[in-house]
Amino acid sequence: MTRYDIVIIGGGPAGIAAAIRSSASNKSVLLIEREARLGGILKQCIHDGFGLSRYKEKLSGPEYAEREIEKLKNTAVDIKTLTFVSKIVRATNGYQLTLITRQGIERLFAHKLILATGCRERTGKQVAIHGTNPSGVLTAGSAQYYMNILGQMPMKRTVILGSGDIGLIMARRITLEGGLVVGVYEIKREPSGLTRNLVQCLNDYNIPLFLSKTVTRVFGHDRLSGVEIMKVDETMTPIPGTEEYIECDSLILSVGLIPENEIAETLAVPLNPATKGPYVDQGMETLVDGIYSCGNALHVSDVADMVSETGELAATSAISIDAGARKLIKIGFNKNISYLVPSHLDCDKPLNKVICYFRSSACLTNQTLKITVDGLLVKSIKYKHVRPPEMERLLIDFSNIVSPKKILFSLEEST
Amino acid sequence: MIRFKDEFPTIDLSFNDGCVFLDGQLDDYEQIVAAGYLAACFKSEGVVNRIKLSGYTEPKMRTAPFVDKKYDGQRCDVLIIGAGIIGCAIARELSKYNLTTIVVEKENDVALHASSRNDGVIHIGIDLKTSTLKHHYLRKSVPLYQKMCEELHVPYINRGQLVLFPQRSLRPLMFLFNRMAKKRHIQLGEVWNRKRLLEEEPNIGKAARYGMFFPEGATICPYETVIALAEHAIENGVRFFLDTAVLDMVIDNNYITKVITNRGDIYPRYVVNAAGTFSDKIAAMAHDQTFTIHPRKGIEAILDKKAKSRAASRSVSMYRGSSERKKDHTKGGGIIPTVDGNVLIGPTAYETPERENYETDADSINALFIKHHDTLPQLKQSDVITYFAGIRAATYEEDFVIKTGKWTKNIIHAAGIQSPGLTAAPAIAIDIAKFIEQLEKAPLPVNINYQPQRRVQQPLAKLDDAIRDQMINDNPNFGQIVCRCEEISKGEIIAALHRPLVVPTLDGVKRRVRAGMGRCQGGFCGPLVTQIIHEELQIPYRDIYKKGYGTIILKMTKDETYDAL
Repeated sequence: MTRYDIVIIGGGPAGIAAAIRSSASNKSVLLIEREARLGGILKQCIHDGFGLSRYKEKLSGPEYAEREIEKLKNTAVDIKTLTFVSKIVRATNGYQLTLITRQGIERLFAHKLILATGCRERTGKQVAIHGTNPSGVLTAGSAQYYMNILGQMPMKRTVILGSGDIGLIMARRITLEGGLVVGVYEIKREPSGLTRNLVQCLNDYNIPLFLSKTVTRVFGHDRLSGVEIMKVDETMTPIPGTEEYIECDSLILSVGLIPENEIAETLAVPLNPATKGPYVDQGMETLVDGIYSCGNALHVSDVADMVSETGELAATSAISIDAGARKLIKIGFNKNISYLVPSHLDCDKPLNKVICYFRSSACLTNQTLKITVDGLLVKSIKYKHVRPPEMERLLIDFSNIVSPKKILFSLEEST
Repeated sequence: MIRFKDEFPTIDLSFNDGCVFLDGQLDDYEQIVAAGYLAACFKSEGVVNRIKLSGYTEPKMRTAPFVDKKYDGQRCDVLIIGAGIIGCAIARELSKYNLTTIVVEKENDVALHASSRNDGVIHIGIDLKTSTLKHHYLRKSVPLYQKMCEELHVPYINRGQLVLFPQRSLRPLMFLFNRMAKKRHIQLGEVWNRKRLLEEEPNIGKAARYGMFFPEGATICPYETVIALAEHAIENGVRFFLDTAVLDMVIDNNYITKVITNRGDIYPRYVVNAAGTFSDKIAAMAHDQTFTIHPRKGIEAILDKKAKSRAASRSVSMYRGSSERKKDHTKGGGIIPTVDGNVLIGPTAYETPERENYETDADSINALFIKHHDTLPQLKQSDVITYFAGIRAATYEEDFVIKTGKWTKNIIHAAGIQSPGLTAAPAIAIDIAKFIEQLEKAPLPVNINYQPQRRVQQPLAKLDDAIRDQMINDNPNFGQIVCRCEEISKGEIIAALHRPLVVPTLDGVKRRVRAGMGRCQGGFCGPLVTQIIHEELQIPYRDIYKKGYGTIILKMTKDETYDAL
């Protein structure tokens, strides 16, 4: 049976970055991708805005992927495309993988695993859209595949539900292709996407955004003929009597992304309900030794650059020498923070350059993030605005602390 | 009679040749149903309820909108109307004989109505009155089911059925249940106390004090089974005409001489009415209506495979008082582990004048979770991956109508089939063949070429690795996974497009190989399957449908949608 020191599952930006970084060691590395080509969802993201922090340039998704794939070509990483991981079981000092390929069923051994399996889209039924079951109700990603990969137009007159980034980007894309976007509807009181996308995708094209409104019902027995929109209250419950009918032939759903962690679950990797990804330390190692998580499988990131970064972080710690038992401390945070990655700190891993990502739980102004270790202030950062859709990234040096007991991230109003 | 006149003074009640006829108009649909039920109390062959609902126009039967002559002039011994489980089971049964059999189905696939829109339970029928046809056919079918599924190569999982009792005081009921079981020749139930219950089903809610386990209960995949019946019938010589709706009949001298469809006129010697919620309409066309269908809708939810570990290993339901059951005309619904590893909750039940409106609503789903919370409290609404509605073809007699025509000589009805119709199908099919034999007044000639085993490719993910590996070596497409949730390969999707009954739609593929049935609900594989259909069958993208005619996916122009026609 072929043995690898590191097997990376998923050939999107996180997996590719993890592979490149892993190859900087003397470890044997395999990158597995189920599609025919590397790049993951970047392949269908033909809009720009990728690579702003990584390449200091505005690239399209395929361009960003190409740059990463170019770097990968110069490495000794083995790559298997059109390869599906069917099963992983624990083996002595590692894992045994069963792969389905066009050449047959293959088994191999991995000492360590990096899970870069990305995320999937929440569907209409998962957000309780009722009514008939016509054609013309698509997730934004499916619509994007039809348009950008197959070159086919799945709509003429569209309602978009959800103001997440893909929803906003598809609003612009549909408009550019000659379709009409009647409006983008968002159940929350605040838009879910990045400010830059709100400006560049909606405002620039005069596409209206309706907040605190959602689609409750769809009509049409064959093709979609219209949707029912209702206002919602603070608990996001539709308010009776606010129904309005909007004629449209398609409904595009951008109602959230769910990290894909089915493989992690079969390996009993504990998942964080806030991120739906595994709990990890600063080296992106999950609570199961030797299994790392990165990219959108770890937590849904705003931009591909951060996805690549977590891939590198995972690989960096995966290629380092096994230190034996880990010294994990859970990082605490207050209620103004909805989640924090990493969730844990491993005191036996490097502590000088810890990268943290967090999202605020609400739109807040004039905030200060105070990071304390055993009551001592380590770092304090001021934020003029924080919004849940905009993930914050920071670099913290914890190297001065010795055997900490309590680490706390506290986002408070500035005094 | 007096009571009926008191309650429904404006309704014209008449008796003709053993049947009750109701005519008139009422403002409330529930009143129309109530009148039907009351009329069913008279000793009669059946109630024909023709009461109109004021201000309501019944929607036209939904059919493919095109008209052609594709099947014009076809002659056959038997024409089966409707390709649900009943029509397809009959077709397969008749394929054992040397008969020309045609099945017409108004939809573009089989099992698109009640036959796929149910929970897949093979019932034991403890609650059925022994005088009913439901009881008769169910008990005759139960011993046949496993063999039928083996021949069709579809799953049949016999895990038994568990009824929970919320109160200690209900304990005597369990003895009554076994008396009922004995009378119906049902394998007796075991009484399980709380301790045993928890050993068997650790996720059962606190409310369950006792349980009664009936070992006979089983589950099948309803649409897979019907598709298999149809394919097996086709392999043995039956022809299926899809998108073909019966619009009228010509009756001459008490015989149907011609059946008029949107795709031409068909000339059958016998007609079998297996038209589900439209079976009374077909009976009326044949001048042989002795019953009325009053549609009863139900909604069910399907949960992610991950919920299985928090559910039970067999079908469970909490015993509800008879008053509650009477109110909703179901066995109370339950929580069923499906043969594919999902969990299904449902169904609800309510009367509706609409025969094929499958809209769902949030209240029904909420109600299901409230109702079944005490059974398996760990199941959550966030486990739901999809939901659907089904419509039962109920008669006022609340029984099947299995008989030869009363006035028209060459029609046989297999109508009014609601639960437990899925269970009762095999024995009904056998009897329909017998009815034809009686009408022929001679034994039916045996089809010597009949192949009892259906030819089918099992899902690759279920095969041993060595066999799977060999198959991939022979055809690399079997090694390319397209639907990741259900681990379905490109090769299997292509094979689904070359089966005996080809339905080149997204749902047609999904119902045959499960691509798109998983937790992403086709979000990832939908476009890929569209692409495979396009490439494999050279169908232009704009002509590939999600399901029935008009459910276009791509290259849309407004005036071309079916709803606009």
